[in-house]
Amino acid sequence: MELSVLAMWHTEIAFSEKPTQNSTHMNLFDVYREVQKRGGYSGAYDEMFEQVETLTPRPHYKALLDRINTLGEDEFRRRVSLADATLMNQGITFTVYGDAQGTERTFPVDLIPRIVPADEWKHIERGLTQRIHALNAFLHDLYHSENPKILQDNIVPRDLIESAVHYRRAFIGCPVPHNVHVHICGTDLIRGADGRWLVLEDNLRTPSGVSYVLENRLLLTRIFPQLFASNRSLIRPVDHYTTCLLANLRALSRRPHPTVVLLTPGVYNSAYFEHAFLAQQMGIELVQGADLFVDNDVVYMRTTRGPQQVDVIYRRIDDDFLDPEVFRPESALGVRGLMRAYAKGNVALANTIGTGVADDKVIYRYVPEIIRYYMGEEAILPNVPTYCSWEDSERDYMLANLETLVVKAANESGGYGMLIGPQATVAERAEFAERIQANPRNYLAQPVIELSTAPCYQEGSGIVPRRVDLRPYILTGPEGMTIIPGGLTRVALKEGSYVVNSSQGGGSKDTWVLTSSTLRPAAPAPRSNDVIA
Amino acid sequence: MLSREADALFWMGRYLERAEATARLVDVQYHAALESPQEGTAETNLLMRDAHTLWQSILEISGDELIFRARYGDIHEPDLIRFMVFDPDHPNSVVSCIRAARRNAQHVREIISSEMWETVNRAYLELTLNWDVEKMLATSPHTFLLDIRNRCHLFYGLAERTMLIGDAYHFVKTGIFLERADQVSRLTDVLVRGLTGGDYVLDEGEHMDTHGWIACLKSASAFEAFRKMYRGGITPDHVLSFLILDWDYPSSVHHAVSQVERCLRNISGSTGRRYENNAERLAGRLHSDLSFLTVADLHEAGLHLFLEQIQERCWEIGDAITARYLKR
Repeated sequence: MELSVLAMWHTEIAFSEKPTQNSTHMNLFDVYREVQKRGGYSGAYDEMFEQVETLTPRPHYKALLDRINTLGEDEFRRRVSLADATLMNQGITFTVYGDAQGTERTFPVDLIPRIVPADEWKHIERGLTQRIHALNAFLHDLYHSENPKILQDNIVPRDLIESAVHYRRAFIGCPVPHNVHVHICGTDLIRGADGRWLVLEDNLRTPSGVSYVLENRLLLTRIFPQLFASNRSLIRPVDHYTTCLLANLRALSRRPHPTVVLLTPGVYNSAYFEHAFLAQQMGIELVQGADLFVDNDVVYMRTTRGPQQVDVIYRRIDDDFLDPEVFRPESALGVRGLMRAYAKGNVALANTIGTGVADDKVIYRYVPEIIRYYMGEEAILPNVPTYCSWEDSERDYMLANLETLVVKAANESGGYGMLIGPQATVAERAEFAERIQANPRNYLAQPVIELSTAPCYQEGSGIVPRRVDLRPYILTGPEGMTIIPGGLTRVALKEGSYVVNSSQGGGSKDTWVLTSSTLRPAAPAPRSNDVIA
Repeated sequence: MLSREADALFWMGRYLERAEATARLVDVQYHAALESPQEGTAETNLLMRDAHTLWQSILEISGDELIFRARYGDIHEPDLIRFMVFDPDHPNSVVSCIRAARRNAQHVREIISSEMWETVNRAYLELTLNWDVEKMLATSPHTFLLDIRNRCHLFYGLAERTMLIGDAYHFVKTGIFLERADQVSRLTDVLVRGLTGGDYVLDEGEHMDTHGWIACLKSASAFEAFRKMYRGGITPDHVLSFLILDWDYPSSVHHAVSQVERCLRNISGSTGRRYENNAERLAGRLHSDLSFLTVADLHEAGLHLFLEQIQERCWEIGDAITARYLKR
């Protein structure tokens, strides 16, 4: 990794403060206003500009904007291509299809960071803490006894829970260390047109993307070293993530020196880079299903020194594929007998079995009620208004207003199984109307939310607005909750698009959470003489 | 360490060493062929060596002559270079070895250092995807081959510099050295056969093909070190002794086998004369043979037979390692 980073570091010193001639007659932001109108972004909240018309930045973006303008287009473009080469060389890629075709792509990173000032982050943090506490209490209730309190009290309809695809009734009463069900959570937040933060989705199963948070930060420190240098202690670090995760995982075992492993589907999985990265950063074994076996309800891995007992599995495989004895019998990714070991408490899983019932897109509608029920408070971060075809009145509204709504299937993710009403054809809407009537349990609808826009560099045109969301990562251990400041800002790179998922042409940004309300300007770079000396 | 990962580390080492050995061999012979006399001239008959014989030798070292003949027919230099270096369908071509090394590295990227991973990954990306093969065959493959060697060397250096000295490190090195012992013995065998016209009778004095023996040493990156060791000049016996039996030269078969044994012992922790498993026993026995033999013993055993046995014994060691450590 250090090789290319070193090369970039040198070029940074060599080129950084040379004013680019082009920058005087070509401004990178020249097209911003035009694209805002053309792409239909005018109604959205812009993260960088208070007023797009005059390109007046919000206070916390001013230092960054100045820095980008100082660099100029040529230099900025050069850094973009260096960054892409670095990611490719480091193999920070996802597999598009098999290696035979050699198709691996880098997950596009936009080099302009997204900045969140301290007070906004404090609000987000409070909201997430409240929400994850409530969802965990909900899961505890559901999997603790045959007759959960929340169902007795009719807060969430019993039928909805029992028909949820990811509800695992067979696992009620299994031992759950520290009563923590969701050790790793990635909640998707968006910002509406009025600038308010909303929760779009809870990801309580195996959320991915955190490796990009860590790698993006590393990359950005090479791209904007001066900005970082003059803002030491103002930009909150993110690199304690793996340390914290490892400590939490180890705490799931009662044995003094537990063996913790990360279970991956293998090198052809699109998130394999992340699995390898996390295992490496934590110094734990990266295992595949075939490396493990269960004997007498204890899990072992096959090592060069014979079988070694496994105590904790950070699994990056969905419930359905974990154990062919219990779930899909054809799955070759899992481990036969793993669920027996789990039910006996001989191995801990992170996250536990069945957490998906709480991030079901239909259950989502009830999360504000769930928060009120367990926490006795109103939700700090509101939901996006949601209509469920389950409820008769809401279904009628959905069917009558399909052209203004986004419709989602309850159990799909990654941007699949979606209808974006305003952008859909008449035929597509008709097809979804039929599906909704045929299977009301499975659909929900939300009004189109104008996701906020943030500046992104687009090869050939300059810096343009694009829609973004934010996925913070929340770790829960016996000592409580840790939220990594920031998270993954995902970008819908296609003009006009709302879809930020990497599988559908999305990219990402580094997210800077500040300890203050603004950044200081970049430090003046040393003159070349100083560097040589 | 997981058996699957030990297996990937071992084969990553083997494939890189194989890529390097093949690249070096083709490069040296390519340049030797440029200087060699035309076929059928008086000079050729005297020296028993021409470009065609050289390429024939290379094909024999690889052990893939049948595959080549089936695909390309007669030996022509550009075809041979394509086959040995660029052919993605030939499993032992340089690019195939780099691809295989990278595939193995992918399975253990959390175990090897980031620097090592990036070196293999870049070798794969930059050397196996982005070259204009036709252009290179029309000019010279030298830059490409040199680049392969440099990247392999960088990888070995990074392994020493950045890897924790533990089982993973020893499995990588076991792979590298076992492959080296095998490659150097093949190289010696086939080059000696070429240089002696197939009868393994070594000419000393005025009929000796000094140029050929130099190429032989260079193919193993051994020429300069050889000069330092043998000030008196080049004789076939000195070359054989150096490539096969030398104690101090890192590419001699002897040294490579001694390293295999040492790495295996480091993995199991066995000391003294005791061995913990069959792989150690076989490696130790071969090491001991090579320690106490002289060139005269090689001649007595029959040079060709002896070298062939070394290759067989290397395979046995590999099988024993697999049985003990790598099988799931």
